[in-house]
Formats: sequence, C-alpha cells, structure tokens
Amino acid sequence: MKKSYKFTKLVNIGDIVFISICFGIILFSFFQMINLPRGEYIKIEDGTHNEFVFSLESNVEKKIGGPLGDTIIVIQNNKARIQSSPCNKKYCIHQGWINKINETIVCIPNKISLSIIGKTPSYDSINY
Amino acid sequence: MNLAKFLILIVLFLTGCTQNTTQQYKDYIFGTIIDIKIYDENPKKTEKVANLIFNDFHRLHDYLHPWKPSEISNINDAIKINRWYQIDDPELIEILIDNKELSKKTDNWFNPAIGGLIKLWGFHADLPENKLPSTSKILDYLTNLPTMEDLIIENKMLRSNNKMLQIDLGGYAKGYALSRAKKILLDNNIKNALINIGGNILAVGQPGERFWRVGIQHPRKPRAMATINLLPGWSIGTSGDYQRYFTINKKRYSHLINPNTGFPADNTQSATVLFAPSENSEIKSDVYSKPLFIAPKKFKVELAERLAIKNFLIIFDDGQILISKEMNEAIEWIDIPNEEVLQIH
Repeated sequence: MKKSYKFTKLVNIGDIVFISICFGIILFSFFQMINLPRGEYIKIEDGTHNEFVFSLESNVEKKIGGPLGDTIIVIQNNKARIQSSPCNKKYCIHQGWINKINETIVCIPNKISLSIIGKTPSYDSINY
Repeated sequence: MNLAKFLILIVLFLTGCTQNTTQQYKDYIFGTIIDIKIYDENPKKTEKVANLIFNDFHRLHDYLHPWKPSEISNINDAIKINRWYQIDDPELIEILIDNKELSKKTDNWFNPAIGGLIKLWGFHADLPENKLPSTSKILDYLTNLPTMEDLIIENKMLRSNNKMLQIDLGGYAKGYALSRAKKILLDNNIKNALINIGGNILAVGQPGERFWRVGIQHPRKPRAMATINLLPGWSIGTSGDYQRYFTINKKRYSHLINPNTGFPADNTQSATVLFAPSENSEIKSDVYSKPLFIAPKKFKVELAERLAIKNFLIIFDDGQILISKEMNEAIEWIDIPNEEVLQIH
C-alpha cells in the first residue's frame, strides 16, 4: 500500500521558525555586505580614543580637536591629507596626500592619526 | 521538533558564534603612540589588562624621563655636583647595570651616558630646537666623552667621576617597556597580543591560525616597504632618521648621535633588527638597532655578527640595502627602496 506523507507531519512549526531565522540572518548579512561603500576608508583617531571612519570617496573637510587645537583633515578625490595643524613642526602636513591601504599620518603633538584602511588589512601593526 | 529541541539548537548556534576577537587599545606615552592588540574572547578582561600595561608605562615614563623631573634626572643632578646618590629601588639598579653591560657589549656605539650631547643638539625637548650647536662645544664635550663605565654603582649608592655623564635611557626604555608588557600579559593569562611602542613591536602568541603580521616603515615614504610575520615571542625594532630630526639647509640632523664624532649619524636612513624569544630579547630589539644605525658602514656587519644579530635590515643614506640572509628570507617586499641589495650570508 502506498504510504502518503503530509508536509505538516514532516515539518512542524518550530522547524519553520528555525529555518526562517537562518534565512533572515543570511539575508541580513548579505544586505550588510552589499550596502558597504565601495573602495577604501580613512580612519581618524584622536587622543581621547574617538575613532571616525569615512569613505575615501567622500569629499569632506573634518575638524578634529586635539590638545593643541584643531587639526583639519581633507578627503578629496579618493585621497586624504592633513591640511592644517596647530603643531610646531608641521611634519604631518608635509606627509602630503595618502591613498593606499595602511598609509598613515600621525601628528604626535596633537595626538591625531589618520590611516587608510581596506576591507582586509594587509598587516596588524607597523614597525618604524 | 518541540520547543526544548529548538531552544537547544539556538543555544548551540549562538555558542558557535562565541569566538576570539582582536581588541585594540591606544595611548600616548614615552612621547609616542602605544598600540595594543589583544586576541581573546573576553573584551572586559582585555581592557583591564591593556590598562594595567598603560599604567605601568606611565610609571616608567615618569620614572625614567631624561629631562623632566624623574629618578634619572635626580641622578643626573647629583652627578653634576659630584655627589653620591642613593637608589632604593632594585629595579632601577638592575636597569642601570643592564645599560652598563649593553654599552660595553656594543663598544659604546650604544651609549646612554651622553644625555649632555643629546641636549646640546636640542633633542632634550618634546620638539627638536632646530639649531646647530657650536662645533667648539661639541669638541669640548668629546675631550671628556662619558661612557657607562664612568658610572660607579656600589650597593645602593651611585656616583661618577665624570661630571659630563648624564644618563638618557631613550634608546632602552621602549624595549624594557615591551619586556614589562610581556610579563603583565602572561601574569594575566593573556596568550595572544601584539604590543607596539612607537614602532618597537613584540608578538605574544598569534591571532588564531595565522601569525601577527607587521609592516616595516619605508624611511622616505608614509607607508610600509615590507611586511613580515612576527612569530610568537619575536620582537622587532627600528632606528630611523625620520622620526625625530630637524633640517637646516636641506641637511637632515637626526636624534641618533654618533658618540665618537659628536654629530648625528648620517650614513643610514634606517636599521631594523628582529629577535627570536630569548632572555631580554625585547630589550635587544630596541637597543641593538642603535649601533647598527650609528656605526660607520664598514663596521656594521662585524657589529651585527659580534652581537649575534641574525636578522637585520639596513637602508643606507643612498637607499642601498644591506640585509642578512635570514631577514631576506623572512620579509616580503612591497616597495623596495633600491634594487641593489647587498645580502649577507
């Protein structure tokens, strides 16, 4: 005699909830991934552990406060630089534009650092 | 599937999500950036341990500072007036004895007794003073050049017959701080971390299946010229002319001063050394980059051999590269400063 199976007997309500949650997580992760701006980012950190991340594709001028005053950072045409700084030596301004992953400018007197980051960093730290 | 089974599945699913992550902490101490990365599953614990390390670094900074009020500047003041100075802290006595031994081993190419000369060049300030000292003052200084041999330590008492002796542990403190950080991590059962003190880096363990990966700064560009895997326990240090310097008439004067000429060493852009874990290897990774940077080109290889520095990378003033065979095998170039590489076998 031919045995007949009913869908509701094979899969109960708990299974449907569980599978729905799994699909939900997969869809959420997928949309999170595709919603990330393309290209690379610039990470700006100040001396009080604040961290700001901008897409390099944005064209913005950011004023970041440090112990000596305001440092102005410009992001333009997929690159970034320190435009003005209250520090004495202005080494940070002389570094010019940066645009490649892991390029970093640090202004030690004003405790501000900016570094270009990608989706996957190519190293964890830099020896100098 | 009943509700209990469903909940068990959810719990198992979430347990699978619990994993180690890398937490990063930063602070500004020793006039530079301290960057701590800890790979662990408990962020509360990692934050606590990072703060323990930062607090210890602040203590060392206040204690060893060469020109601001500190135990070292008190010693220097006593030496100036030819007085005995009593040190009650065994840690400081150990540090000073270690500095005496290291400067002897390096034929005084590493000379922490020349604080006076560094001051003459304007580097005893948060920012260099941008002016050349008079040649006569430098020559005067060299006629009575102090070394750590002039420092007399008897039990807890310390003095020197050379009033010019002024201790400056700027070439030692970061390496010592790395060794302190290692101890704090191990005491607190943190097995995987990366500590970067102004470019001097120590790897403890590894972040998961891979090794910690470190970039080596290009001396003339704002990025890494090479990368290297820093194996568990290994440490790396660089002396470069691009961090603390001033320029006059397009000539660069760095803070790395040749004790024999009295002038900043100008034959090298950067000297990097890499050490496997051994006793005081973190200190060596800071101290031994100085002799390789400062000594004349013809002495560098001999010095590296005598100091048992198996892994070194030197970029000369003209961009030419001198690299040991072991180091050449370990690094991966990204932006080579010069195609002409002199490799040492």
